[in-house]
Amino acid sequence: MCLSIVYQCSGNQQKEIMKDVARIEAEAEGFRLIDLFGNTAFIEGSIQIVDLVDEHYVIIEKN
Amino acid sequence: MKISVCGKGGSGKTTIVALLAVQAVAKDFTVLVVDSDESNPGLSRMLGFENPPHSLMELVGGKAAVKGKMGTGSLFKESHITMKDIPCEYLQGRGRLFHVRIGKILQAMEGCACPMGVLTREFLKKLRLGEKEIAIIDMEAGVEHFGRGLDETIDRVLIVVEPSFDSLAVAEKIKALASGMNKRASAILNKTPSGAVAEKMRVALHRNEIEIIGEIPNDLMVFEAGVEGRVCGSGKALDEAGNVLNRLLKKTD
Repeated sequence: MCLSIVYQCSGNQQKEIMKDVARIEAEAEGFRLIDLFGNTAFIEGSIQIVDLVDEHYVIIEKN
Repeated sequence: MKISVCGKGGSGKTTIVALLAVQAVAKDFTVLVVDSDESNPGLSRMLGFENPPHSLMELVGGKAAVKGKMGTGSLFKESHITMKDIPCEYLQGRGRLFHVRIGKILQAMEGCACPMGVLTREFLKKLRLGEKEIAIIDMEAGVEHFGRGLDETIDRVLIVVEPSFDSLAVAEKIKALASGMNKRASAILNKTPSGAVAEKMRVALHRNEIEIIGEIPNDLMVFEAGVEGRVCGSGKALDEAGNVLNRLLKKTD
């Protein structure tokens, strides 16, 4: 599945922010997530991992 | 009840879906046929509709919207979807037979079908059916739909098996994947040319503990109708599809 799940991690904690994410737009302080159905979320931080093959996830680490 | 019809490409899934739909309507059910195959275009015609409905992919804005601003998809923002909630341009209907289409790959290089997989999964998850309503889902060929989680909310998995080693192998895989999701998967033999071949198929399926709930014979009327893009309105294949449907509808046996 090409659409991804975006997690936010902070220390040892990992929280699912959004699934079926189709588009990620970089903004000044973080990233705007948009899912297939037009739902959006903004998450602060920097991208730590993008897995495009196995589980299709993105991990964004809280700054 | 939500019934997914699966199997190897070319095994006859779409024809079986159409035959089951005809029989379900004859048994006074309201039927929603969901075209989840992103390649084959013929299901709408087989169901007797001149033109297909707009796809649910268009409802959420189409793949172009996925790449751009994203869709609105208000239908999908609801927690539940009933047949009455689906806007009429996205739902073909005649009598008690209804039809929705998830979406098709239309152009070269347009990208993968993953968004359609998500749409199918979410649609089936949210779809609520009444007691006398049935959804029959024409799945994409092969087993990828299990990987995508499309079968998560399916009640019964029907595997269409044609006389070929590959088709038997795909059936075995589907059975294993369905069992892993605690779904009851049953097979039907399709296009069987003789009793001897059917028996060989039965032995192979039983070896893999796959329940067989019907045998659709190699009915020439089905092939004639198939070439013309219509469903066969009578004959042995249609009769046997009625028996298969009865077995699927039985809560326990």
